[in-house]
Amino acid sequence: MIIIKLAWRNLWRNVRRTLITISAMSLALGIMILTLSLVEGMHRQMVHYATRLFAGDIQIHKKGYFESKDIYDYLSGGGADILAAVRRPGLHASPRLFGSGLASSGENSTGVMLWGIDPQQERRVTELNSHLLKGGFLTSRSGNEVVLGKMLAESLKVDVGDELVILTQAADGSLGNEIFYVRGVLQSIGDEIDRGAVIMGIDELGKLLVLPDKVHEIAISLNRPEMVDGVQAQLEKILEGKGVEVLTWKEIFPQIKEMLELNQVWMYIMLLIVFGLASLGVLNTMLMALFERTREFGLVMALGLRPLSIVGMILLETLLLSLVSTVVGAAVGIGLSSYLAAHGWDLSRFSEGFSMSGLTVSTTIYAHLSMEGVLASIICMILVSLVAAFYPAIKAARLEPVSALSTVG
Amino acid sequence: MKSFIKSIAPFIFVFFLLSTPAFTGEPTAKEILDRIDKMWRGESSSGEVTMEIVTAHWQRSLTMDVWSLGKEYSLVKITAPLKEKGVATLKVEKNIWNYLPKINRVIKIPGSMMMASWMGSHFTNDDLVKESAFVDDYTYRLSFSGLRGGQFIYEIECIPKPEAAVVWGKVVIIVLKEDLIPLKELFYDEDGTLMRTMAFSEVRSFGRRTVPSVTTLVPADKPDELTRITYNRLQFGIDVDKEFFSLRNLKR
Repeated sequence: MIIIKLAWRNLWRNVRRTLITISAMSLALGIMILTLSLVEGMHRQMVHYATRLFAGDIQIHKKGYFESKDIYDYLSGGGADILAAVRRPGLHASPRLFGSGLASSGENSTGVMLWGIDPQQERRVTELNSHLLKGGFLTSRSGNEVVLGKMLAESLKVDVGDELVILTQAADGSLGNEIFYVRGVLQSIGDEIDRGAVIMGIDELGKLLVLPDKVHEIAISLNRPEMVDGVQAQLEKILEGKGVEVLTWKEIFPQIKEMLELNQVWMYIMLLIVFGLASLGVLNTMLMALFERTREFGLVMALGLRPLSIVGMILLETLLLSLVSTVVGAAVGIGLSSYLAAHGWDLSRFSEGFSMSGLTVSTTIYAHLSMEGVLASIICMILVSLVAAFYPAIKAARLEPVSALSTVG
Repeated sequence: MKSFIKSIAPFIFVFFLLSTPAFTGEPTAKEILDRIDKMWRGESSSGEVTMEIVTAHWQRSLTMDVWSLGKEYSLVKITAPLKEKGVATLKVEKNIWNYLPKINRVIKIPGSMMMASWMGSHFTNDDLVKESAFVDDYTYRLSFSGLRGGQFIYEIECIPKPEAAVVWGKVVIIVLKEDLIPLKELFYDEDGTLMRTMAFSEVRSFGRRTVPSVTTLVPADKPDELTRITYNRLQFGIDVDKEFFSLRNLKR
């Protein structure tokens, strides 16, 4: 106990130096925690955008559909057997049907993608329904109502309530054509939806395309998205032999997955740099202290303190130093992160909203504070400090008591 | 039915050589073209065709009435099957409108949909509109003249002019030397890969003209698929004017 007290006192023999060191270490830790939470928050936002707007965490198709996008690569029977097979708590599934065609209103017409969904299931899987710019969302699997992207609505010059003619080549070769009414217009949430998606009830699209009770995709969202890889493996096992493919968002948006991985590497590099600098601070402090206290060390050694105890003492001082820094740094880091988690960090001053893999990404970053991140930073910090203190500690332990005593210091 | 050939197969100008006296000596591709072009002006026609479409997933047959005036105007109305009866296409210069009787709406086909299928066939909307510009869009060369496959033929190679907005990298037209009846047209992309083949057969006389009455289009990447157009009736020099090719007549 006395040794802790002694170490604590030693620390404050040079108040200014210790305070500077503590500041540096706290700052390093604070920055680390904040950066980790910002990056984590950004990652979560990206993944959220990628999955919750339309893709879902997992998609099931007939094998090959993801590559071919062939309307004849469908699942029959409304995908009921697969929907039943994947049913489990914490998992929501929604069937979809896709096609392409021509949308026309008055003098304006353009090629569009036709998306058929089950609105009741869809709202449990994606947030499409909550990104309405105006009007309402679809309510039923059938009916002549559509919701479409903002830019598409602008280029067709249609508004809520207007008529929209859809013309398509049906699966039996006939010319599918029907009049629809615009029920709602979606916000700009992604290029694909924005420029070209006309969304309607799945049964309605099935009728138009002459693909009744057919499904091209079953989108799945998980209550715990971080479990996505495990769930994918499970579903693949359950659905084995049914001729389907089970894809996660990582396979659907490989660019996003790669970007997140690259970010992770940058994080480690930055971690290394910040803590490297902090450890230099520790090294400097301890070395300076050693030079100042050469006589003192000589004295205690002459009195019989073993070299190992000297090492112990210096490491203990370092530990105390880093503990104080941890408290201050963690407080700063957690405080700032929590603030940015609640209020977000608006980057619109630096850049306009950007689009990545066709997904519009918000300019406001919300931090996400993860306890693992905080703990990892703290442990890293303490370990790095101790490692940095080793050299001065060994140097002190190797002092020759007699010559140390005669040092002017 | 000449008109319909023009509507769907823009490059069939060679047809009109049929009624011209045989050339003395070897004509240049340009000469052939000029003669055809001269003959086309003011030409009108009407008739009935059957279009059979075979794809990997379905096959069907459409019957339609067709009218045309020169290269710029044509009107096509489906008469069978019942589901498509009354569906019509009007082409005026570079514009195409489709009429859909079920919903009683006329849709103008936008530029972005020109490469989309026309009435579910292997022909595209682009095939309809590009015919008027074919003469201006390509340069021609007589690339072969002589015996091939047991027949004496002319082969004309058409290369698009650099500024022309066309989808093909090259079009090769093969004509029977004797009577200048077309046998085949081969469409290549810009890399020189064959994209589709149009073959002509069943030469028949319609009034004062003799033309192949069957055109078969086969996409090169799907050799099991085809669109075959058979001309059942065909009449030239009918009494129509530009006013006939109106949106009002499209709906009638």
